[in-house]
Amino acid sequence: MTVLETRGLSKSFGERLIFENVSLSLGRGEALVLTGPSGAGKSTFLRCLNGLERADRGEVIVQDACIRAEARPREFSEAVRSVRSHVGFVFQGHCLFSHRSVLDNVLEGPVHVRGLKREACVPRAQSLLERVGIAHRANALPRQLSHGEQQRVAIARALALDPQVLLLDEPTSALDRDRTEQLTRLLGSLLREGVAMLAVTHDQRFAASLGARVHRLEHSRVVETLWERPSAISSK
Amino acid sequence: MLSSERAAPSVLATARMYTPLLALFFCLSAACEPAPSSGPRGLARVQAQGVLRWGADIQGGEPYVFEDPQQAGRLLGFEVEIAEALARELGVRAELVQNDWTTLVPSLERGTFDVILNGLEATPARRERIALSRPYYVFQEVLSAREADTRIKDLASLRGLRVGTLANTQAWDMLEPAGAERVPYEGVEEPYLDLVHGRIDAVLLDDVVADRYGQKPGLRTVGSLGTGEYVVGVQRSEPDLLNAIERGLYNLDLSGQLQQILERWQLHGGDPAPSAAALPAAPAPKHASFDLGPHQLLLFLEGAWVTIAISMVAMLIAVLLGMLLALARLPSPYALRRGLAALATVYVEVFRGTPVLLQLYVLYYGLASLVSLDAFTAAALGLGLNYAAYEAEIYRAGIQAVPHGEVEAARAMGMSGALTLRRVVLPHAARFSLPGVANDFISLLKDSSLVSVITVVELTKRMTIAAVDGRSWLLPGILCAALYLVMSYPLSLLARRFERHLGGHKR
Repeated sequence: MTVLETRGLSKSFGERLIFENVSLSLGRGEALVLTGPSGAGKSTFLRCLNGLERADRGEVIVQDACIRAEARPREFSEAVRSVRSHVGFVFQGHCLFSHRSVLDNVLEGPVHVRGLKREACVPRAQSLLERVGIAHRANALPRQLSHGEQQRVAIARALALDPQVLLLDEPTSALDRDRTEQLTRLLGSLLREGVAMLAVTHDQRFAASLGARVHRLEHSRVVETLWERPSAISSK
Repeated sequence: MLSSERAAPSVLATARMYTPLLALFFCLSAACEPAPSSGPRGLARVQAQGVLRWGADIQGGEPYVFEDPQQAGRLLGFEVEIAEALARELGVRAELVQNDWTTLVPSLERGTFDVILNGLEATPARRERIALSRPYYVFQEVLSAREADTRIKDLASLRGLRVGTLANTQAWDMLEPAGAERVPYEGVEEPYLDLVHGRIDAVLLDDVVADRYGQKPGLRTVGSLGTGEYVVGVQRSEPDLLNAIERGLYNLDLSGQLQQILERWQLHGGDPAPSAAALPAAPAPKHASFDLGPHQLLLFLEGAWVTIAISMVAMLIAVLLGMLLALARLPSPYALRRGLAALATVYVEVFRGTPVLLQLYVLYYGLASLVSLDAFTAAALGLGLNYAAYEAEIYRAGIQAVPHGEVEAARAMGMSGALTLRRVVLPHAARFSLPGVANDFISLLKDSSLVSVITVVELTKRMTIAAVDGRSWLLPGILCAALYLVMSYPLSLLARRFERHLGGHKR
């Protein structure tokens, strides 16, 4: 069952073409990795998927919602909102709300976006923090946490809204090997629960251990591929 | 050891607080030193320079001294003609030195000009400080009221009513024992305009002014409450110059020239014959110095309270309106919002790019026929509208400093623009803006002294009145400065605390 699909997505910055006519689809519980040279526009592609960036042409379809690049501003922003309710985004820099505690970061979505009662949301927020292994820092401020811890809070924050798709921008770039394995285990269990994910990464080992399909963005084209040097996985 | 370490910063802080005060004290004392005299003095100096420099304020307007509307730079007025005639008697040219009317006496003492010739009233208080000539004009104190207002009949009927006049004049002094609430003006047209608009109940001013500016529809002249004299002021240390002026005025009077000038300007106030002119029924002479009694102190505290009240209301307006302006200027894809942003930008540029004094004049006098605000409201509103432009810029900078990633994270989790603003942008922006806002509050506290131009007696105006009354600028100045410091210092501490707080968060 397809949960996320792009049709003919294209984007340029001025004269510079970033990607053109990208169509791909992502099924329930499926992982897809987008790789390619630095500066090719992988993050831009990811940002187009949840409307942080507006594509020039094409569509992004998530469940019943469809972001049409050519839509009028009001229609566009309504579609974006509806897509975002199904899609969680984990930023490369984590981007936690620096003025709120770890627990409040996780509660922000359910309480203020969904409008639920805070007391009703606290137990689930705490169990999410437990799941990502950070429950003991629930009252800390983000700047008191390490990079790896911040990332896990960011994932918990995204999961709090029960997304069907998780978009991850360079999730392993700041993690050492142990932390990467921890992350892989966490994401693997989410995949088994049916969450689909699309990650921008250069990390082949990470991609392989998630069992992800690999797409490569280069020269403004996205093509499904194996790593160009399959042996690289074993040699690393 | 521990206690002394603790004590040290507070001593330092106290010392820091008093340093500006001491500096001010020394500056003021230096300013009060009489200027060292060199070269000839008195009449000899005037003759040596070939010019009689006379001090006057062109803002006093027609018919005293004013610029020819047909020919900029050319001066007209009965005092211009008297000054020229006097100078001719002395065998020199006349040259006007522009000086604010309220500070004519101290300027004369400092030697900025040779004589004062500008509606200077002969009061016992002035006579104690400078030498006064025979009068060149005897004026009537004319009381004006609205036609429909039958309450006002004489001086006694003014008790408890708001009466407009010029500060530090004979009329100002007459009104105090009468129990009237005195409203000080700096120009001659404005009191009558405010009388028409009902902002005040009566105006007491010289006939010279009342005949020209007080003849407005809806107003009536109640009558004269007494007479007074316009005289020429000369430094006490220059009796020979005074003699020459006296002789000159006598000659002008004898030859009929003085009469001709006054008639040409249609001035018929009283009998200019010096022998007949008795001293006006002025209040008892005051002490020759600024007397810091409980009464005076109370007046200063009252002025300080007005300053605080105006500043607080103005700041509230500025903070709220500034917030709206800053929000209106946020980028948006919608055309309507972009139009609003353009309007907000125009507002900021206009209010920031023109003097607040001008804005106060326009708001209070310029728009009086449309919206008749009372002086306090106009003052608070005028300052508030002006400072809103600055606050808007501070908030805009604060909003720009908000971590962009957090805004995107909020949008990505599905927050609307308004919710993102409330949950992420404003909490950050407020923290970044607070030091700037606190600094602006300090500026506003001091800028509030400008509102005296629209008749509000706040701390600085109170100081000016007391200083001119008591003929001393040193003590009232220090008292006034101390009160400002007492009000602003806690604010600077607060601003510094905000800054430290901000630094702690960023690092």
